[in-house]
Amino acid sequence: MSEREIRSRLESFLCVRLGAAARPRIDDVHRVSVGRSRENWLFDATWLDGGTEVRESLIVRRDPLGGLLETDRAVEYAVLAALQATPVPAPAVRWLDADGAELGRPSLVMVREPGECDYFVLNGERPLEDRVALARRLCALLVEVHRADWAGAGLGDVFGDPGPEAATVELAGWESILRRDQLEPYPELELALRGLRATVPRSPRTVVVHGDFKAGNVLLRDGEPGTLLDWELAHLGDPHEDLGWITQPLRTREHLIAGAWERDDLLAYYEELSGWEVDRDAVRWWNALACFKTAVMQISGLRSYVEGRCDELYQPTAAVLGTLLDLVDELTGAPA
Amino acid sequence: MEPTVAAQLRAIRRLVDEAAADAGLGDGAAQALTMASSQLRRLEGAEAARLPFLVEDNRATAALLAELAVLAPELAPPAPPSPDPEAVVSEADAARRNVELRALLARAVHVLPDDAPGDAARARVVELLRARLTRNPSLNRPLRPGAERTGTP
Repeated sequence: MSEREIRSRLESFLCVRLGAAARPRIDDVHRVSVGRSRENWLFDATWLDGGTEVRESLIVRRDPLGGLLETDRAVEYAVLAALQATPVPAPAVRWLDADGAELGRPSLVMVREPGECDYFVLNGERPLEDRVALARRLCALLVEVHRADWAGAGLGDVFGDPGPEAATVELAGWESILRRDQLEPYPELELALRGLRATVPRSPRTVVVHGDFKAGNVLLRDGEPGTLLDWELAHLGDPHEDLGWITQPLRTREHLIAGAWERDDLLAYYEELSGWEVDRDAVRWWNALACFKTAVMQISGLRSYVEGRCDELYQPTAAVLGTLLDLVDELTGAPA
Repeated sequence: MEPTVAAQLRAIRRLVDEAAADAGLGDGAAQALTMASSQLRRLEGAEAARLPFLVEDNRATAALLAELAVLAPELAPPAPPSPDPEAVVSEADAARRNVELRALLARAVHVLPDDAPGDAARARVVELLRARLTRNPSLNRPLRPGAERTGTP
């Protein structure tokens, strides 16, 4: 979609939401992503509210035709709206076009928060002590997400509570995506499914799971963690799920600092802040599921690429499949 | 026969790289050309290695399936298109047979018995898959600049 077209559609969209008397105006529209991946457009909106001019810096996130994930903007909108009632620093959401009737594709309009994302900030240029301090603050942010009163915020109306069967529910969900999107057989993933099913843990409690917690999804302001972004994978589930995601071997450069902030340091600090005991065996199971999910996302991306819905080439990599085989061997006690 | 496919891909990539370096391009166009260049670079290296890889993988997978069929007869591999091991096969035929054999391997994971011989047979499957991951030319090249850092999306 061209800049002119999105500007025109946004003006009409805001006219409907705010009323024609608000005389909304759109300025400084520009796209910050490319190809057929998710379209993120930044813009400034100005309108009249009771005679007073209001100006906001906003972002509209339009669904891609295809890619690694197919998630529902209406659900993401509901999650973000519910989180406003909690201390979790989620972006403020403004409006939703659930079916894309107005903006061309299902879309969310959110407030543009200040700050920069840096996937590898924990292993960047800053002094070691600053990076360890930041790692601890990121861990505290995850605890804040998990401690959120999801029932009080109304998230029980958005998601079902999987209770102690959270792992079984997640595994079944990702298997169904695999079956929907796979274009060819993957014996590696069949082995993973068999091993995961045989060792599935029970969840000790239900929390809000972010689903893709990482420094790359946290806006840093003057070096401090600010808004936590990208809630499209959020759901209710087992807190070990996010712990398994951030301690998976494929993402150590994003979450750990060799010799200074290791896996055990992270889990121990999480225990200290949350007051909850972490089941190390359960984290290992969720490590394997994290890797399985990654492979499934890559398979979805491959299908999108082959069908011409996505320009970026994805496929399960040797690193992902090899690590998955290692993790499942550890779970089942099979020789590595 | 010259020009090889790899040489032609290299030439196309040079053109794309030159276009991507044009300072007058917008961010979107420059990123799209960089993505195209990255996909061409992948193809340059993997294209020539695909057929030999598929032929060898089909041979190793069929041999293992023949062993597994002792425990589960439905895993017996179908006969190859030509009984002559020296016969020249097209990449399309080799790829089709690879999918057929890997489907049987995927099935093996679930139909092998849950006992010591079954577990030992599954361990052989894992061994074969690990070796395949190191040899597969299309899985061992970065999908895009930076992707190799995490191996994840």
